[in-house]
Amino acid sequence: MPPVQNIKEIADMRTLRALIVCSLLLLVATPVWGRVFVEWTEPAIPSAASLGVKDLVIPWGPGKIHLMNVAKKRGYRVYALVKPQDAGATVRNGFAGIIVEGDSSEPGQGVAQKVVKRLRSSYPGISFLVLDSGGKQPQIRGNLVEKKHGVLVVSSPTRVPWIDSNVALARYERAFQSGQPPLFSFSWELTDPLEKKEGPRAEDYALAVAEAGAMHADVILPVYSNLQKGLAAGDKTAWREWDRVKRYLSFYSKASSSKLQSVADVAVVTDHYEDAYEAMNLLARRNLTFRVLAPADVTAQRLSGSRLAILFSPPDARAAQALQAFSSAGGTVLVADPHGPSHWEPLHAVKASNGTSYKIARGETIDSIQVVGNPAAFAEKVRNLLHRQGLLIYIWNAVTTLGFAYHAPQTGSMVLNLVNYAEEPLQVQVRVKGSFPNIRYETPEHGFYPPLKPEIDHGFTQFVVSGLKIGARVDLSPQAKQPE
Amino acid sequence: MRWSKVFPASVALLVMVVVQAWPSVHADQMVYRKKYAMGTEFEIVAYGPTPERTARAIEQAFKEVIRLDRVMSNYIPSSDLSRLNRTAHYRAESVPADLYKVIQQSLVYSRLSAGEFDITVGPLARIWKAEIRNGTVPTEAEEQKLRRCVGWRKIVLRPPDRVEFRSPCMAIDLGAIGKGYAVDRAAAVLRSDGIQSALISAGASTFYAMGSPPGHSGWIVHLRDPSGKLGPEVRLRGNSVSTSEQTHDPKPGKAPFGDIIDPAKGVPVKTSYSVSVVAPTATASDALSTTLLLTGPARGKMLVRKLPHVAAIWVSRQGKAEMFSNGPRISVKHAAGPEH
Repeated sequence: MPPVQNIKEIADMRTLRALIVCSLLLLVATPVWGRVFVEWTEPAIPSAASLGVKDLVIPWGPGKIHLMNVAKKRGYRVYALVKPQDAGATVRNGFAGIIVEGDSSEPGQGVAQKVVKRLRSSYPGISFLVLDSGGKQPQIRGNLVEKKHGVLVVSSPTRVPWIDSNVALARYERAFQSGQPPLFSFSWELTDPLEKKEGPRAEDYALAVAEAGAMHADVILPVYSNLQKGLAAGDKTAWREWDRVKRYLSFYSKASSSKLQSVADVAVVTDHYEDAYEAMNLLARRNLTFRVLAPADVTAQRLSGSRLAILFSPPDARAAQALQAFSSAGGTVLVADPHGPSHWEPLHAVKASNGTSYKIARGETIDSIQVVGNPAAFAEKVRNLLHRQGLLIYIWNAVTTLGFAYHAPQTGSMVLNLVNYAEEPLQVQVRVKGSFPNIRYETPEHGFYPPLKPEIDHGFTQFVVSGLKIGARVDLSPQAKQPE
Repeated sequence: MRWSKVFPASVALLVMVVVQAWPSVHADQMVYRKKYAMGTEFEIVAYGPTPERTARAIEQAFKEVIRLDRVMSNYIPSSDLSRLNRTAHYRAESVPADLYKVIQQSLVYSRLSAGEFDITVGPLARIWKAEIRNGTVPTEAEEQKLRRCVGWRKIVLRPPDRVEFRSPCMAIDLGAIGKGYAVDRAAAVLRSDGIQSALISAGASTFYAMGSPPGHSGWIVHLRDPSGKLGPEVRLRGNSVSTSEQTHDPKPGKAPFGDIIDPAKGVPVKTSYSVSVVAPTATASDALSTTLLLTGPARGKMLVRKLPHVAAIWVSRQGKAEMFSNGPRISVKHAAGPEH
């Protein structure tokens, strides 16, 4: 290195160093977007650049250090997937991070969280993440059930497709995991021997990537062993399949230039996943946007933007006060506590004599609504309470599509991620709250479409997107388009 | 020396057993696939010569269903049916053979049921669906206006492929027959690909059974029982079953809303029955299940009497069952006894 000549050169060198450090930090920083961790088990690994993935997960076990070293040489950040009891032993093996998998029960998650908390403070240089392994393969569930002696077939009126999604899980995890985005894994549900031999299709991988990306959640993508072998061996068919997945990996790895906040019509207050799961699932399936709040996190600020709060767990006095203020300002509080109304005394300060509905200023509290007994009626009730005309997102004629909306407070723009679980191209009509004259629509398959022509009416923007196969992103800007 | 005779004979016998068993080992492998089409989940379970060939045949069958969706959908603006609904008022339009055939079949069931089955209820169905979404009901004036657009006799078929509407506002909705036709076409594709044993489901409301699964004499389908008391079932082999039921407003005490419109009255049909109909084809079972939901058991039985190889069961939420069979056997745990 030549000797430094003067102050100006020193300043230049510092600037350069700062730039290098910043660039490095940007490279290794956790993106605000969801990450896809590819789970790999086979001894041969293609390069990170060819696979289009940075983060590789190796289930911990004997001989895995060699695999980790191979993966590192191929350009990956390598994470070990471990049980809580093995986490401490893997720390010094050179992994970029340790993913601790509790069992999917709430106590199991609690154990994993404790282990991670302890390790984070002891080893600040290593990334520790808690995994919820209770996810499911995103798909539209079939009606036929394979039994030991054949197929169980039950006729019915035409069924509305049932979406198996991870929305409830991701929303719940976001409320309870500190220091990381929700991270979940799932297993492929493969039915017949041929499917079990061949593994999932590219569309199934793409849907898993799209769902996680749309929710801004992290996912461990289990790559089927046949596909791993094919990719490592340079098999053309395997690479043709993976190239279709890569489009999705690339599409969802693009971070937004603005800081985004998820928007929700509904706040679900719970600290018990099982109690609220069915309701959250129904809300998700009906495109009713929601966020989950732990009872201790219920504040006026966290409730702002929502119009309905559903309570599955008792609030403490401070939360009850916030809920009462929310209700007084026009919000509706729906009490769905399975343990009965006795916990809600703080909310009943202003009671009406008739029935179980209490008017509180401009708002309302509805007590002890049945959820489990009649889930369809519950979802309909929620939808009616929100007055469907005022929903943040409304999607027509697309019972297989879920929408995930985010707001950029600095610019006033909105990002809407659409996920079509049917994996067949659809035309979808959407209405969102707000006036957005400038709308860009893009899909992984097609890239950007020409700007959409929205209809703006009474503070709502309506538009139609076509060619929605699995995933898509709609950028809605309040700024009118600049003339070209 | 004894071994020298016995051993080759044993090997030969073993080879014969293996050779004979080999195709059946493969034939026993089930292949299951599902595909979203026509607004619902299509599913096929099939057994074939090899799993790979069976899977390919199923993919072809699904391609056929998707092709038909592009012909018969009234949600897809570019479908042949949407085009027909836009342009065939007082003007005969050419349509693809499948669409012509389905409309022709629909008119057969309209004639048979004296108009209970009617594919022209589209405008009424649409306004009711919109009102259901908004939680309201159409006004009488709106309904009267739309009823002028309804009536299967206003459809004129001009062979070999043209269709004309004798009404300025008519629109066809094939929701009560299209899926059945698609199931029949999927079966034809599977058959042409050498599959002899398969069960095809369209949204669990229409099934068609080809042959039987290995080791069984047919495909057992448990039929919809809103009471949960009767457990009706049918064994299908080379025939079909469809189930229809009116959807109801989940709010207690409200008037029944639903997708199935009574063409005679122009309003959603009020019935607590679920109807399952067994028929030789899925087109027939699909069309008849809607028809027999509208007629109810009394008139429905008279209609089934005219149709060979058809059976029907009406099950109410209270557990009351009425059956009539012109061939196929529907069994129930607690007999309401089929009439013959």
